[in-house]
Amino acid sequence: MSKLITQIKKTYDVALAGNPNCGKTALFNAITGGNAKVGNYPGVTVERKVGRALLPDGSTLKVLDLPGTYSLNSRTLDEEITRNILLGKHALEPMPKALIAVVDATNLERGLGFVLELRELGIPLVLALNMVDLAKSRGQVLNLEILSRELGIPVVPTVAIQKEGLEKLLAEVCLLKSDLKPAVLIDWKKPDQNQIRSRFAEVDRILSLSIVQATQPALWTERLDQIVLHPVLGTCLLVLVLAFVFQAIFSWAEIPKGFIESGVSWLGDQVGLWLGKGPLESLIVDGMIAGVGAVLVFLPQILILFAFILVLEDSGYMARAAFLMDKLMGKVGLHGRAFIPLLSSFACAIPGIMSTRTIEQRKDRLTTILVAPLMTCSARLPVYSLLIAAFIPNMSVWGPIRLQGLVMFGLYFAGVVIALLMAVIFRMSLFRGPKPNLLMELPTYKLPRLKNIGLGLMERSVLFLKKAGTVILSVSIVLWFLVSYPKAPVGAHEAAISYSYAGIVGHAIEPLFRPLGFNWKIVVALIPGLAAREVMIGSLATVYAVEGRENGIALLGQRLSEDWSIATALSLLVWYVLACQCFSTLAVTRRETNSWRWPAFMFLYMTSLAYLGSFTIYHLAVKMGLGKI
Amino acid sequence: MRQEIIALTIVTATSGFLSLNFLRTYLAPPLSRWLLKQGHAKFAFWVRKQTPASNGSCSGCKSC
Repeated sequence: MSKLITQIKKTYDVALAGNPNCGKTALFNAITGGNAKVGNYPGVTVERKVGRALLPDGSTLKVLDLPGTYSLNSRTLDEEITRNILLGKHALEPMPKALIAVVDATNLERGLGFVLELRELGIPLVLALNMVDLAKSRGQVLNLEILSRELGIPVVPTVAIQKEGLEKLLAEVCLLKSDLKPAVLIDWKKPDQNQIRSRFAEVDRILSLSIVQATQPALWTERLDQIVLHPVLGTCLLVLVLAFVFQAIFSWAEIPKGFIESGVSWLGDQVGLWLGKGPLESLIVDGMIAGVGAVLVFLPQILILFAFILVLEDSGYMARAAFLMDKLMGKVGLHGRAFIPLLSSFACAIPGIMSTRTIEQRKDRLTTILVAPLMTCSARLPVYSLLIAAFIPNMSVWGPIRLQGLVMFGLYFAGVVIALLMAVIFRMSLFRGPKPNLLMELPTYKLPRLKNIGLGLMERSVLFLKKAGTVILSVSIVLWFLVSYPKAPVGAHEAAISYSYAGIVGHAIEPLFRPLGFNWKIVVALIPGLAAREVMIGSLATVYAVEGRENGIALLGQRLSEDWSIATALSLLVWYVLACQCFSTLAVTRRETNSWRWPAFMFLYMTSLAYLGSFTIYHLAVKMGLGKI
Repeated sequence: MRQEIIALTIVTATSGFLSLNFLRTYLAPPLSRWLLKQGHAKFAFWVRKQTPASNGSCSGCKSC
């Protein structure tokens, strides 16, 4: 076994280490040509990343990007990964032979403390003094020669996002190569208070010698923070920002959505004309094009949502929102650090659950993991959009604010409120304990970089199209078979689809969901929807396309409004707010908690909650007269 | 009839692809862990290697 582990170990020559949000991943991307996610808040990287850099002498170097940490005395899981790799104690990752210590030039004191700690490890080290442009703009004048001499290591000024200083940095790394020795396990001991004090005294001494002119505080950041972090003004601003985002998701996406809808419809017609009536034509038009097309039309809305998320992340506003929410989160027993994982869950619960590694206490972490899937992920967006467009009138409520946007906002808001309520319940029952204080470094405001946003959107589009072209396409094909075969017997009175495999299964399970107002077609679509939430849209499109060809494939919303009551639509919306319709979330929960107990619990509590919620809403809506088709 | 044969061939191939993908994504990791515990290290690492590799862009999300 140990022999095998030795065999599969790869030697990473250089690792990037430094404080959170000092630009390690930006530097990693710059020197390796990678496009790992970067963000203007601490804790973006929670796993190590590997890339390759080309050195000036023509040789290549393996580069490892480590999660940020303030010291080797790790308190969280992501910091533990960094410490274990640096000390050669990681089970499968070898110790790096050299280090690039990345320090934010505007925050030297904290960064250099960690550099001194790294220096004590005895691994060859180069200091990349990042964001020097920002430090200069704030009046910092630094004598790099003195800094390098006092630290005893080469110091290279860099601006990672503009790829400045990289050649010099790689040249220094190249020089280090001659000093590379086989890695030796380090016997590291937790420093005591005196050692920490003397380390920071040393930092003060070095800085007093090397700083010619100190950095001025970021005035704009301070001024903006007076509004953004204000308990009342800041909260109002946050609500306004979110309301604007949801309005934009609906109104801005209308034109591109229309184009895609027309394109899908045209393609279906052309294929139908070319192939002529028959099973293959039905498979391609009703299965593939209807299934994939029904999901594809939501790409513009997903991109709009992500564009806003990326702009807010890049600008530094997200970290402020976390700070602002800390008081509220504290009241429900959630750690302030839970805000970033919960916020990431708006994109997808999986990175959200993974980023809970930044939370120190297991109880806090588990609470966050269990409620993270209640935040509205982007996979729910197509389902919400379809049902809202089909059942909610597009009327103005107040000026430019429209009812559809408000309902969408309400669904997102409901997810948040229920997540917070569940957190209270978990903290009062399963995970009792004191609530630790939030200690978080607020980044300075920065103008969002177009390239970063463009890359993020490109990546999201590729992922979405990949999913549409693989999972959704495959499920649509299989579902087409299940709704088309076996064929209806001669002289059958009911619709042919009722005699199909899907019809038989759907009718068998339907009684379980009838109290929620779901018909058998919804039940059939919910099953493949477990693979990924948006698959449900493709499945519904296939079921309705096979059932009624005459209405065309692009009018799924219209078919639904003819077949369902508003009560059923509301019930399904509530089901989607609350249910854990995602295998991947359960799989990642298992990985992060190292047990099947918690994903099983998550599935059970969320499904029960969804059933109860849908049941209540459906019967309330029926009582209000919304149960008629 | 010919259209039906082609359609059913596509359905069969897709079902195979879906099953294989499901096995690789969700069954390979626990199976490899179990094999490792049983002492079949080489086989365990081979099984683990079948799991689709993530490019790191979505933090190892398995949904695509």
